[in-house]
Amino acid sequence: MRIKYLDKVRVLKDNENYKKSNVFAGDVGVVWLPEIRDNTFYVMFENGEQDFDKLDCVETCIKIEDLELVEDYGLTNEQIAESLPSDELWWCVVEDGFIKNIKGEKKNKIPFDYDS
Amino acid sequence: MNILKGYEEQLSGIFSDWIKVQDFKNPLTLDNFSKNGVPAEMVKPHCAVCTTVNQCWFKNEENKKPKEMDYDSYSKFNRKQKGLYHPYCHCQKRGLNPPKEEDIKIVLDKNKENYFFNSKGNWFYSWGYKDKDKNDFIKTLKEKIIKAYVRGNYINGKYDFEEQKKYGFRINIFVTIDGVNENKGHFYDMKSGFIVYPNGRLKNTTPLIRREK
Repeated sequence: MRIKYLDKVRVLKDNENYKKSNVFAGDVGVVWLPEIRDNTFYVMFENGEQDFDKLDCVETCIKIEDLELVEDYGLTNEQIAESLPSDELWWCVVEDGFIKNIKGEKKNKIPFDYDS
Repeated sequence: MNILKGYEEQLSGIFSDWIKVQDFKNPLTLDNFSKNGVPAEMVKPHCAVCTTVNQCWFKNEENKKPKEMDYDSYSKFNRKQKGLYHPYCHCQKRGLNPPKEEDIKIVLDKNKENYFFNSKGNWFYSWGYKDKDKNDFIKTLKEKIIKAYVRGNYINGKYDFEEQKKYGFRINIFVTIDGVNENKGHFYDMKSGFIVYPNGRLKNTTPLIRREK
């Protein structure tokens, strides 16, 4: 499983912080900024249908361990690099339990332990 | 003279239409910390949340600028301790000449722009636009956003201390999209989400969202 910018993701767990934003387990959103900060992705959730008159959205930080991939948007590493705030060393991809930059360097040492 | 100048500048922050948030003791801004947000331990003795708005411009109206500390329930602080955003806060509001359109820089990510056309293409076409209009649409949208911002046609976005430390202060700018071709004469009220960066830079987070009536 690889999660990155603009992929569609599902929230797996409830959390008090998510609740404040009206986001709950099972909600599906989009990774809305390319960079991973403090082991979180910034995710946008749309309320309502894909209908102009009903749609509104909320944006909040979700821990990467609380996310699963729903749909790959298909951005390449080069495209992600264009959207990163400064350089290619930013953490921006979650793959097989590791937080990585687009050069493939890993942030955590133990898979799925994102603070290791 | 210097004392008078100090008072004059503080008064300008109260009566001006626009303000610049400024902490003269803090040289750091959101620009210095974009990589990991603003970590509290790295900006000590300054406040991480205040650092995210240092040197940023706001319309001097309620809900268009960071919320100031309300000391009504905190009588223990004396006048000198009552900072702008929290006790002992060094931030000051300084009067700012109303920004001109050319002072504002919009940062819109190309991937997000393409995502908008892919995911909200139905809106775009329903407003009468065709594929060939995409570049002009974005150019016009940026112009509308800048005009709206300098007129103060925006409101604060979601406010959350922790998220502000990571990403900065959010605002939603109101824009109206003009229908074209078969939809000429129709208008669509939308808002566009931004993070405020120092000195007139606005980084887009959400190109267009429906604006509640």
